[in-house]
Amino acid sequence: MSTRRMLMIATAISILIVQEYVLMILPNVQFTIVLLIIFVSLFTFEESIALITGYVCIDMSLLGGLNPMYVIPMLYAWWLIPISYHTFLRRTNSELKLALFAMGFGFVYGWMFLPFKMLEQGIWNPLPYLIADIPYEIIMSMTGFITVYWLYVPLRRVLFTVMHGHVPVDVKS
Amino acid sequence: MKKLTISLVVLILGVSSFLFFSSPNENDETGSITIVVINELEETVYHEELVFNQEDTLFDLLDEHLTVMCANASYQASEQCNNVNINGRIILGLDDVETDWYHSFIAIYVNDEYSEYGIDGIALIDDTEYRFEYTVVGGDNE
Repeated sequence: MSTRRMLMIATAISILIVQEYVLMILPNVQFTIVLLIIFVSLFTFEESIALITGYVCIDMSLLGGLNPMYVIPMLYAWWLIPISYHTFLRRTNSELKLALFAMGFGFVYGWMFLPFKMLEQGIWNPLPYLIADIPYEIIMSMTGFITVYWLYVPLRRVLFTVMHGHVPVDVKS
Repeated sequence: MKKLTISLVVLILGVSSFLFFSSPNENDETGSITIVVINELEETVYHEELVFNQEDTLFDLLDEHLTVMCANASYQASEQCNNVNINGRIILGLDDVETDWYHSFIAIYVNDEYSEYGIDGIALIDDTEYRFEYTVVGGDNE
């Protein structure tokens, strides 16, 4: 990986962390999903995995420690974006398909924590956790859908132009 | 126009399902319930039968008869229980039974069943026992 690409990944992580902290007062309202989908579409699969791993480790360190009960499900959940983008999403640039993916991802993200929460709290009934998490999952899904649907194309165009020096040909204006 | 319509449909669906899942369950019209509080030594430190009517909430009854400590935005114990988040309040202390959320919490059992709802989502049902039990995080709690 070239130094230039590594610096780009570091900048992407900074953008993710800063926007998350600015929007922390609103639970589950953030631009993380749309930004990660854009970064995943601009970086290779390996670079995307490195970016997400760096982002989760820094984010969790800032939030008070690398607790495996939170780090592991977060990593698994966010890694699903590059895995999905490079497999069944077939590197699509369709804003509607990506927005629908983001909507479903809001729920999957919450479910990833379920086994870890059960292990942590020693309560082996999944229903209380599922019920308690539904409002947060709905907010995350809505935010994911709306931000990806409206911001994916213009933001990707800007970032692609910064990275490559020309406007992308695969995204319609 | 199509984009705006799709966004509006998704938003309306989202807001209505959010309101549906966030709405509290309905109480019985009137009745009596039993409140039990268990401390870290598994001793019963409070056991009372209380009468309620439809306007009451489980939190109101606790607040009326016990000293209640709630979690603030940083999950620290606070006497201020007015800040209700999306899922309602989190009780960290009842009289002398105090928890810190990270190592211990107060589990709520309704008629010996672990509650599927938090304190603000639990309905008051006649002749029901509500047990508040000091619970260690990571322990075998069932």
